[in-house]
Amino acid sequence: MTDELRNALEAIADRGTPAGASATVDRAAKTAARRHRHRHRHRIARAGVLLAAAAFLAVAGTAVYVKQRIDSIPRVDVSGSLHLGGSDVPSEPMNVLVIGSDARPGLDGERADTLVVIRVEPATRRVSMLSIPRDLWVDDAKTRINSTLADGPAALIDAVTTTLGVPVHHYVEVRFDGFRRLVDAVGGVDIPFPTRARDIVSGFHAAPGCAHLDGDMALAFVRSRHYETFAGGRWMVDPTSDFGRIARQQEFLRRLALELSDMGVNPVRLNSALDAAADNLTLDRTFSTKDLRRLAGLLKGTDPAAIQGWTVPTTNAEIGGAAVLRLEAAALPSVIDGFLGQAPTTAPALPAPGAPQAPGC
Amino acid sequence: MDTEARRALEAEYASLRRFAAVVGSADTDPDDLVHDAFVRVLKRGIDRIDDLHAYLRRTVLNIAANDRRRHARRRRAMARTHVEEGVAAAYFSDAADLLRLPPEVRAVLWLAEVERWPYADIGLLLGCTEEAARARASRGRRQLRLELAGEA
Repeated sequence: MTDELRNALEAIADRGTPAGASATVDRAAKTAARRHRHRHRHRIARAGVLLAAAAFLAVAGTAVYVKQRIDSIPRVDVSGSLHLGGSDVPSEPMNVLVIGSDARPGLDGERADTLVVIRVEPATRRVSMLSIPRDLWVDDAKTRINSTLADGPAALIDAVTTTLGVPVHHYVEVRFDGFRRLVDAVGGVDIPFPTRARDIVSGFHAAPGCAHLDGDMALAFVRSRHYETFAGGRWMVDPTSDFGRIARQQEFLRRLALELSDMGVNPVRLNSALDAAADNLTLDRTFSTKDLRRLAGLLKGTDPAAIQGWTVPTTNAEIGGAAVLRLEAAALPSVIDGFLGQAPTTAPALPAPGAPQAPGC
Repeated sequence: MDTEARRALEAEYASLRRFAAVVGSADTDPDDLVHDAFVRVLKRGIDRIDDLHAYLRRTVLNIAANDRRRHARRRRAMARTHVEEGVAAAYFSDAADLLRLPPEVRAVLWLAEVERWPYADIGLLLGCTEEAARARASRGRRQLRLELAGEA
């Protein structure tokens, strides 16, 4: 019996053709690396537009009062990639590339997790924003646009300029660590929800009506990639994924801008907002305090609800086995014209699940 | 992955694949089980594992046992819809009989009969006492004898 048993066991043990030790270890290493990246992507806050633009607005709005704080913000020299000159004329429009970066202590490398160009036109007091999907494929760099930051901010600015044909006058980088603190500093942000909403992954949840989001909840809201609304007795998933997220972020940004402009001159709040921003910002070297002051003045007189949001048009594609977004070249000109205010604008009115117009807040 | 981790995993490969072939179901590629176990080691960090040899075997066994439970559900569903599944048809009869035993029992028999592990170590691997491991082995042998007798 024992011999028989052993023979049977050996026969099973030797079944099939072994793939080989090094091939199996290679395959496992690749799988582990891929899962690691995935996990990161989920964990990393994609608070970008918000965080980025909010911290930027906070700095802009308060620059007048605390020049020395701003002077302490780290600077990066990207003059070779910026369009200098034109924006120094006070009446000329200014395009500021604001990126939310996932750089954190203890995390190697850095990617732009959210990218938005904010345009301010002094003459007309018009403010618009252009969201760039992070998975946008850059042909020249042969990578996604968010990964170009690994080669430094100049590479990212070049990618934005050449891919979209939009000149970039200034560069602001915001690490999302400060986002939560910034929202708390302004005392939270009110967002209206027509139905119940949640995201089990990011931990977001809101009851119908006007919800007051603190820093934690705001972060979960803008990070949300698995957004669900409760309708007709069951939970419905937002099918638009990244684009729904961009729309929610833009809506949140408008309302955060509103909070910031309402904040007025409350010195305590002002101070903590500035602290949160200053600790997590990098500016380009040519972004002078004078520029910031000019911007603050302009933004102060702007109705946040009138800020128009645009998104770079893309189509789904697969390159080298990776899911990416390809620029939809045919649709780009009209979006850029709208963003630059050069076309009679029919506002792009993205359907924004979870960032709806009803009920009032 | 550093070269030391690579070398350690490569050294485990040959014997781990044989173990995976024994505990895995007939329609599971043993290399897939080994791959999954390696991935878990890499994700956890090889430095954080005390006994790599035992850890890998325990992981392969857990994955195989989970797979088997999943497959059993599928087989029951298949039976309801009258679809025949020819699992293990390619093996001669006593190997096929062996494969009908639960993965844990196959693991005990393999470790005791072929790899000659002491029952105390097998118990550690399965999370049971030495006596329980011994009992499982003899129960496995008896079960197998019954299967073989039934066939004859």
